[in-house]
Amino acid sequence: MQLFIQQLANGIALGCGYGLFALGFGLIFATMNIFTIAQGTLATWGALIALWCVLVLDMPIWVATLIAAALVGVLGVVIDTAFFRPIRARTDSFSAVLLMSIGVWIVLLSLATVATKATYWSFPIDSYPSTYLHIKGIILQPMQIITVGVAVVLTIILHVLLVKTRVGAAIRAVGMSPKSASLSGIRSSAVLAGVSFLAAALVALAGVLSAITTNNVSYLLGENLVLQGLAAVVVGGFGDMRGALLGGILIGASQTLSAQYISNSFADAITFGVLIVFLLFRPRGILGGRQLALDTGGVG
Amino acid sequence: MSTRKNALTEKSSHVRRRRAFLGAIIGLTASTVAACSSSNSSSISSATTGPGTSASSSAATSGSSESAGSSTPGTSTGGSAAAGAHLAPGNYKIGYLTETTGNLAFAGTPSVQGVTWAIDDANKQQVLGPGVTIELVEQDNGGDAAQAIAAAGRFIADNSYLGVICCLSSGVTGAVLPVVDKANVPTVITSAVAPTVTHGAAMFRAKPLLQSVSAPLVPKVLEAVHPKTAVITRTIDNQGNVAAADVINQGLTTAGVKTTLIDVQSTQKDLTGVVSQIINVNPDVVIQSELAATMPVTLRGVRASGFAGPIFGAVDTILSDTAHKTAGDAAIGVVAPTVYNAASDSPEMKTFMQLANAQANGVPPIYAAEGYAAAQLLIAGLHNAAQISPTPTRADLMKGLGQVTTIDTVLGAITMNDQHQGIAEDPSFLQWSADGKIVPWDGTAAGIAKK
Repeated sequence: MQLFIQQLANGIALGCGYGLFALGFGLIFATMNIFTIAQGTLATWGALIALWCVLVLDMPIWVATLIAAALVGVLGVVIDTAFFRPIRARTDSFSAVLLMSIGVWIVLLSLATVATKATYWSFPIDSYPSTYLHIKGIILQPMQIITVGVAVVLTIILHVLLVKTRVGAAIRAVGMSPKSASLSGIRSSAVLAGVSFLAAALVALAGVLSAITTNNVSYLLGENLVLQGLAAVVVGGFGDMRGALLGGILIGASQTLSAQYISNSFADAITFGVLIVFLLFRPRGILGGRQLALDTGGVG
Repeated sequence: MSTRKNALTEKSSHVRRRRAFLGAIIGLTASTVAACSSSNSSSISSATTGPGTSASSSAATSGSSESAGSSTPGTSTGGSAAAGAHLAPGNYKIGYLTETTGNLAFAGTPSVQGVTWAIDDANKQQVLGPGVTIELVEQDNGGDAAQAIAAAGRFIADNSYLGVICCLSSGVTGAVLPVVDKANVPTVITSAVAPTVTHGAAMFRAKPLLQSVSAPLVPKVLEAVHPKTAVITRTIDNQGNVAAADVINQGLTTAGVKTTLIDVQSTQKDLTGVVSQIINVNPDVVIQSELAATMPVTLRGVRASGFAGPIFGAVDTILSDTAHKTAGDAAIGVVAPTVYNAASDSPEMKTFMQLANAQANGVPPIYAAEGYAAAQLLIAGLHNAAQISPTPTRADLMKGLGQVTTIDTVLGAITMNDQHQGIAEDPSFLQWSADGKIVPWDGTAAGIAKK
């Protein structure tokens, strides 16, 4: 029983990391109808920038994390403005945006490969809390607890923002129809820029926390997060930030428990298995209230 | 009613299309992520392995890789080479498939250095005869199997190429194998570790099979630790690591030790579950047969979780600078078998270090030594081929390589088995000391106690 609880705790912490990435991924995807696979490499770049700040500029890790999130947020805005906005101005085609995001992904991934020299790095062990905690027989890393806390707090903040505030209403209105929102007096371009910044900053934060927790900063860091984040958004439900976190936790727990009781070789298979089940039987996800619209490829 | 029925039908159809479309997106995402990951989870089990540079000035006594009947420093000949046979004066071209760009560049670049040092030195020393020059023609494939096959095809099509040197990863090597085998072009492998890559007639590998390096660890563990239980972790998608883990598992099981095998994926980022599994078993000893991306992380997690028992590496992953940096204090005392002992006083290692120091400071990564050893095997094969004909053909070189039964290399004394694979004769057992140096293990339990 002790082992089950231990692995469940590990899975929840892992899942909160996925959920954190899914917040940013889902914000853009489910709210703004923009599917961008490049979010994974933004997470990678978040980790790389934070690592650089710690190793070269000798910054405290929390400062490095904030700077990384901010810079990647700006990068997200630049990418949206320079690449996605012109596409959206010309066509409503989901495929066109998807293809553009693949192009951006490959470019950023190549740059990350060069920056890391295709090898893995790690944050210095003394740059973050690393003494394991023993709580009633359960062993936890401080970074696991921090990841859970950050994910929960940000989920609450985002949910309240989207559901209870005028800003959230504006975001949802622009997500439904930028033109209609503009007619209502909402500055769609400003909203899109703000969401791009926020989404990119969130995935960057997820990248940094993942890199620290897993002790691994490589150019492939974000690729794994994309897969899990997409699954978390689908499982949790489009359009609901709480669903993204819940979906992430479900996937993380499934992976860890299946590795313990079935086989470690099936971790990704389990993720997709859960995904397939939800797509077949509950396509709206756990908490989702909206469905994917085929004509725009977004969420309607 | 009809309108409503049509609307429902339309909605149902819409839902089906939506599901199919979303499924297609997910499939595309998964396949691209999988392709990206697989291109990196290569079968270089010794990724960033090798003694750390901090050991270059260590006072470590030599490992057990001295060679008897050693070659003259500056030459790189095999123990069974016909020393008096010379090639006819001239240029002898060898195609060289390299990975100096792409995912494997971190290993490919030092590998090329090692091969080049050996060949340049052999040319300078006129080892194969007066006026004889081995000309290496490099063709980079960036770690891509398709490009490697195309490059190999170009070498094969041009009869002026006597043989080929290839490749770092087992994936690329496995792709090239049928091509060179069919064309009967002798090919010497530098670093690929999968046991199956030499199953054709044309491929030869001096780098010892990992299991031959790991197997001698078993009696050492039994003697020092007397374990009743053991956990062995293995990177399940790397053939070399699996082979090394399996040979240790077999040895321990035969000795009556209850073993638990725990699998790790090469691309696995979160290892907390693996650590928890190890802690739950609470074995007398932990033996890790993992790639460099996961081993130090697992090691650190196990120590931080409170495991105080002895930990061994089944392969020499932990002996690299990068792994040491990641594992931190957890690396201290962990013993690993290796054939790359920079402190060895064998003539081959001395020559290698002289050549290396002329180019760069510090101990070169193990890939350089593996490249060097591959070139040594090639040169030994050419010596033997020269006995057949002073202007050997590809077939003569193939025979010459096949005649190499033992060879003293920078990786120690190697015996070639009937599948053209190197078997380590006498690996060294090294560990990190508390002051960051690589030192020989004294063979005792105290020598591996958590420090």
